[in-house]
Amino acid sequence: MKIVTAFSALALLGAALAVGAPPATATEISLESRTYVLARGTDGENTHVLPYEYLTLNAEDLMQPGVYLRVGGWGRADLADETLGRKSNSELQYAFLGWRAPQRNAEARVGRVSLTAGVARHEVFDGLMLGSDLPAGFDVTFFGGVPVEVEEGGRSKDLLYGGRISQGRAGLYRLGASYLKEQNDGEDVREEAGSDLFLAPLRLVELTGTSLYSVADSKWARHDYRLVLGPFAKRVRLTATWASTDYTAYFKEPLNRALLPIEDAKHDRYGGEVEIVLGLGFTIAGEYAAFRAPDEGGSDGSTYGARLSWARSGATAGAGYRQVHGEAEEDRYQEISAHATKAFGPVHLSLGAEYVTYGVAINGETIATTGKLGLSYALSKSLELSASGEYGETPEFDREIKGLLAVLWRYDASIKKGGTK
Amino acid sequence: MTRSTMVFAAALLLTAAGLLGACAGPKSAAFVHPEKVQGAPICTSCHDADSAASDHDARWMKSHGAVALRDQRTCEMCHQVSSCADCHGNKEEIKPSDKRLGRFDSGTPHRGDYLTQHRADGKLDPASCFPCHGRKNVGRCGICHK
Repeated sequence: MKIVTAFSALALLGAALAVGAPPATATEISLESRTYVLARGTDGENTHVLPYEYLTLNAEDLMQPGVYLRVGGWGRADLADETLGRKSNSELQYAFLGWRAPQRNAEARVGRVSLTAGVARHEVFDGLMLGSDLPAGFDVTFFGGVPVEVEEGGRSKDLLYGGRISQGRAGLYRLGASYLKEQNDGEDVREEAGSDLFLAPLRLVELTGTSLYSVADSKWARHDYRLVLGPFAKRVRLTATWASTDYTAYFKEPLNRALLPIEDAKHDRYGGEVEIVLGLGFTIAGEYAAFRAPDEGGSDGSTYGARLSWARSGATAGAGYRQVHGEAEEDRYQEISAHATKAFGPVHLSLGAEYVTYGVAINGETIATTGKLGLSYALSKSLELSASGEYGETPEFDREIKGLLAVLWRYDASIKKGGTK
Repeated sequence: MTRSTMVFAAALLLTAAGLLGACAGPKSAAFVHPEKVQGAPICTSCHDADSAASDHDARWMKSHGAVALRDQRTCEMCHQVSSCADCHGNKEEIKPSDKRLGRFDSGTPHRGDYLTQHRADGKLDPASCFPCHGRKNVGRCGICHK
């Protein structure tokens, strides 16, 4: 907890800097509500009727310029049967007070913070995040706090901390190094270090990637790199990808038992993509990926596919083919999909369909067919109503019907001294 | 002095230097994108080729994570924090393809009969499941994978 105390001292420093700034003349507030009602029924199974409420609140220049508030969360109930073993569920996704300095992109956040920075990927914790640009193209981000647990196992002696430092030149390169450590009940559960790279040495050449090293296992957990060439003549873009994963080191402390680490199993993925803008709104894209798992527990195979899409003034359409070819026949399928959308003033209509054939019969079926229809109507700039329905005949369900109603509502206000705009 | 203590002493010094330097350094970038952007923007249609990595083109669904981990603030110039949490939250229950209603995007994961398809995808590339369904978002996985 000494680290958290130290971070708190720095937050106070940030707050002092903020207080030193002139008071804000107006506070901008934005509230957004999204209400979803999801209904699902299958032959012989439970019926679910789930109202979800998502709320987000943003406030800018809260009393002082650069001070802001972000809050987001959701809750739901099941009006019919239990869903995922619960009649209700909820999540406070993030809730933090922040301050952004007028110089150097310096920033401090305190509260329930959601952070992605280097090896920290969507980490949610109750604590502090501090960051700033430094001279000579450097920037730093540090964070620390108590991680938000998905399973309610108690948060006493839980701790998450780490940081990222990077150096670069805009548009040419950026190299980052990052570190993260997580403790649960005082025991180390994760200790990771990593590097991230952005490199654009020539026009139309861009290399990005990350490497993740498990300090606890003393070995590389994953490399993931992507080289993009183009767009040549503003039409052709070529992409090559490579990823290499060591399951033992990468799947640290999974809650998903399907991803329990497989001893010494490694896995490589090599891929390529081509995207060509044909003109008149048409684009065609193709991709291929090969998977190599040299040890037991993984599966060799490949995927490839192509997609033709079209977009023009408020309308889109597309059709695609994809094949997944695993080592075993049960790990093979072919998918054909198509979609179309069109805006008619405030009304937005969308259609989609998918047809899948499997390599072997699953529950006596080799074919899955699903279709979806969506309709939305913007009553005003701040209120939108949507409805969608999906019908499917799949190996798991003879008939599955899903319906989703949604209401999106936004409220914006500018609170000035002495009144509301 | 332990290694982690030394690392964090250096971290605190650097951050303190940054915050103090914030009083007299170069001006911060815009907090919010000055122009309202509609749909999926191709950043290079207005900005230099420097911004090509952020183009929201056909590969964006696969490549956006690499941009976010370098600078989350760039995302937040146009997107709310909830944009990330909607898919990458700890307990999310609604599939991304459902939540986006009619905004069809062939790259959005888990469309159609994904309950059956994920068996093959998961064997070929289990690492692709881990970021969203490894240490979180496992409620639906746990029904079968006990």
